[in-house]
Amino acid sequence: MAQQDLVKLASQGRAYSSGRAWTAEELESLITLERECGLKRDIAADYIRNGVITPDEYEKAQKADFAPKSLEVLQAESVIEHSKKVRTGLKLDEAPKKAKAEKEVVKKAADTKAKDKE
Amino acid sequence: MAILKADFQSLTEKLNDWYNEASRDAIADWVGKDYYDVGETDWEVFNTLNLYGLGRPSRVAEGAQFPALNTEEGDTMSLTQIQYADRIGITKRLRKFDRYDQISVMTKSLSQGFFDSIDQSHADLLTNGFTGTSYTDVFGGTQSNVASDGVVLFSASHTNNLNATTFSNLIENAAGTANPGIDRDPIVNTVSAGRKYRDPNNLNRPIKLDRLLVSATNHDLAQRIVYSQGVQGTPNVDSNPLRSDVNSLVLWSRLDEDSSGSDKSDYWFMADSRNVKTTLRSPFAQRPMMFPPEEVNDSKTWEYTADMFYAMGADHPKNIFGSTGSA
Repeated sequence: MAQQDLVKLASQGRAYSSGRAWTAEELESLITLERECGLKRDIAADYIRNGVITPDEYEKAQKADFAPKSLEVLQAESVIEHSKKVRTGLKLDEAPKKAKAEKEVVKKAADTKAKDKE
Repeated sequence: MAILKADFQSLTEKLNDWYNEASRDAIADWVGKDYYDVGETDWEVFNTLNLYGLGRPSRVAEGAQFPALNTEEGDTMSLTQIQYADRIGITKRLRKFDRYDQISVMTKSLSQGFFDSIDQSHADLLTNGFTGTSYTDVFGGTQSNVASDGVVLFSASHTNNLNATTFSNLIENAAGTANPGIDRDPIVNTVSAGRKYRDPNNLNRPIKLDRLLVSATNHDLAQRIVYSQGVQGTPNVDSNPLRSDVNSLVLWSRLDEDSSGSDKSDYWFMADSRNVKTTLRSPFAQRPMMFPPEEVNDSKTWEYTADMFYAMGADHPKNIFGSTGSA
């Protein structure tokens, strides 16, 4: 089993992420952005990951003051999305309610103990 | 006379002889070993690091500190050993009736199966090295076809971690069309491209593409292209200098069809025989070996097992060029 160092390659803009390499089309776009727009490879990679593929799209993005999300931000967002999907049996809005209810139970138990002592 | 329990040792010796004899022949036919680094390793995870080559020395003033060269270049890759195994059963029936004819064939076939799979897997990495990031290998597992730079093995855009330059190891003809069919023009062009190769530090490090690897289907055509006295297929009276550029024309019949049954007979490759093993890596933790049974099971069958450990991958891909022959 061959394993390329995708973590390192992704940090250099030479892979899409630590999970996969660039596709041939993405790589071609990356090199085009790098050469035609004078971008450093890791910056060009950020644009590609944010869907800005061609030099024209890059120009439009510049005019619109679009700042691409970095690989770290995209990965963090993807982890949050994933955890939302896999969480089962407990809906997100129920979590704080449940925690609050648990705290109240603990508080009540402590109050009862204190009263018993008195 | 039936093969009895007391004959176990002598039968095992016979099986070993047959197995080794078949292995010797299979190793002789194993083309991949000439292009892949098939050395032995004790590492479960074999790590590679390639250096593109250091830069040039700089001119220094009197007394000035000598400039240091950057050694932190190159990509890394890890190859994890995978075990492959098989077994044959020498049944009581085979032993009782002295069926040496069958036992011998089974044992030889066991060895041939291992070496065929290895060689096919080596050919498949090349013929599946043009698109995507992985493919299903001869054993049914997933095999990465991406080189250590994160780009598919044969690509027009191989990257490095030093600067934005790229290089192509796709065979092109003189008109710049990639993936041409085998012909004199793309061979000449590729030999030239190899010689002109510059590393990321812009040093010219010629790649001497002196091996031409072709399928059995294209072998005759390749022979005529390379070995004709004059330029093949023309009334031209020029001599044919390819005979000195290509010092070995290799027929690799496992290039004709990959393990999934796809026809790959138009694919062809050129390799630098001196350095190609730094690109194609296939370390073995254990070569195919056969072992006698350690205990007899209820069926009274003597189970002879065989296994091996190896891995495979593509490092810095500059030493082999390829074409699908489809253009």
